[in-house]
Amino acid sequence: MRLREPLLSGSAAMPGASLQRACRLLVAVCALHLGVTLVYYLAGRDLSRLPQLVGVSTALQGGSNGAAANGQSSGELRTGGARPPPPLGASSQPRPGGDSSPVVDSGPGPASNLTSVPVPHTTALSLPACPEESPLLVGPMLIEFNMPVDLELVAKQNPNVKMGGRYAPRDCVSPHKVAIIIPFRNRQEHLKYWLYYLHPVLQRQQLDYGIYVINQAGDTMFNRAKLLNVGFQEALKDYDYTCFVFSDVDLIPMNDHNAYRCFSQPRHISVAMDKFGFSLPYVQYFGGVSALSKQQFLTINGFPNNYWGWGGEDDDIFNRFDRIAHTKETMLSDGLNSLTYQVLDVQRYPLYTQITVDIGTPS
Amino acid sequence: MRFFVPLFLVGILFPAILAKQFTKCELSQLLKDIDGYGGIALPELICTMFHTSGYDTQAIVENNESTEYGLFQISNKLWCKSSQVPHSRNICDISCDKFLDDDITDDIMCAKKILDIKGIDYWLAHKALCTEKLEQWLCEKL
Repeated sequence: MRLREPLLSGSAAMPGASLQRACRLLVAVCALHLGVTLVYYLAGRDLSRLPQLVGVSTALQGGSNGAAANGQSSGELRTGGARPPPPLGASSQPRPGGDSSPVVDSGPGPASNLTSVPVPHTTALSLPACPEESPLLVGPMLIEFNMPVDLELVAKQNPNVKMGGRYAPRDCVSPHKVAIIIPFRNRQEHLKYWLYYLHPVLQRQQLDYGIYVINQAGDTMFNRAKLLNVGFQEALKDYDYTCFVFSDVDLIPMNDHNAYRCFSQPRHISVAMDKFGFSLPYVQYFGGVSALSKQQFLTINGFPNNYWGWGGEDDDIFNRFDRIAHTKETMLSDGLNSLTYQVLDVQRYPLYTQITVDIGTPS
Repeated sequence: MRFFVPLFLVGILFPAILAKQFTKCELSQLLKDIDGYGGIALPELICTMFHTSGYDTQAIVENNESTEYGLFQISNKLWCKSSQVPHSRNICDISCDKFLDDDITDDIMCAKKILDIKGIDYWLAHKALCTEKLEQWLCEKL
């Protein structure tokens, strides 16, 4: 009869000797995994690979590692169903002031003070119509804000974008004549990222588009909605746009299947944003990015002009909800038909048109 | 093994000292006793507080002559006491800073007084955004 030996930790006499070996093997595998991850991470810091990551689907993007798609109710998305949320790095909203390194700004550069931009007319008769869904789309994209953006370089990377941020597909005629209106004040860093990511996407979507940055002059409370109204009117002075996409400057789509164009009804494009956990914060939310055709916009008399202090500038949010409650009543009297403003400046940059406006003060 | 125990304790203590951000269901659980109080159903209240403070117990908004505190954004103009408005009526008889901690029992007590005296329209968000489509504010788990 053998006495049972007391269990000693770490002793070779322990019954789990093979267990110990298995643990060692596991540690070795983990170390190997960490090593491989480190190699990929270091490789990923190579900036010249960025266009490849952004524009072309690689093995990295194809699988479950891809960023979550913004949900669309129609059958626009090729891959249906819910996607898992992306890894922590792939947020779609940059922090303000996060860019520490100095950036060479393309700034004024070849800007001009023209009030209209001639659009090159291709012989429309010889070109086919663009397909219903663009064959150039890549799907999920990797969005990062840890590298500085040089707008001169972005302009070089997008040689087909004409002065003022205008583009039309060369090989086909697009039915989507889209003016992208961005309400703006003092967010140059966000704008740089927006242009860097969106121009390739919009070109892949084969849109006939123009970018309009509506810059509010002065220091009074930011009035996002009124700036959008101004954008609508001013863009129409350039070209016969039939569609208007209104986008905040700090929102980037994570999947280029999110079509930045118009549909049979007004469409809320930014329905699943990382900052809201990829679900709508509440059903009535219509902020972020939305698309309205010219007719739809006119039908609702545009946006209200009296929502001062919106867009995160919470100087005095006291009246905000009061105005929402009365919107239905004021729709007919407060909108495009009561819009007054003064254009102070129009600048045509290679990648966008900036219109600086004085929109007055809260009455 | 002994090394891990203090580490584990630190690990579980850390979340406890951060600000309290309720979820819809957590807040519904805490407020279910005042469902129907002042004629206001629970989803209306949950909706209103989402738009008012985003369920953040530390929300503080400074206006020109007053400040609003906590999850219910209670104002120091009438309802609580603070140095900014020394002559406040202080109807809830409490220091406004107490509305910024994680314990919302005192906030609820004062919110009930507001409902009694002023009604739900003290919170402007209610009329604007919380009179329809209320199903989205229900917590299925309750």
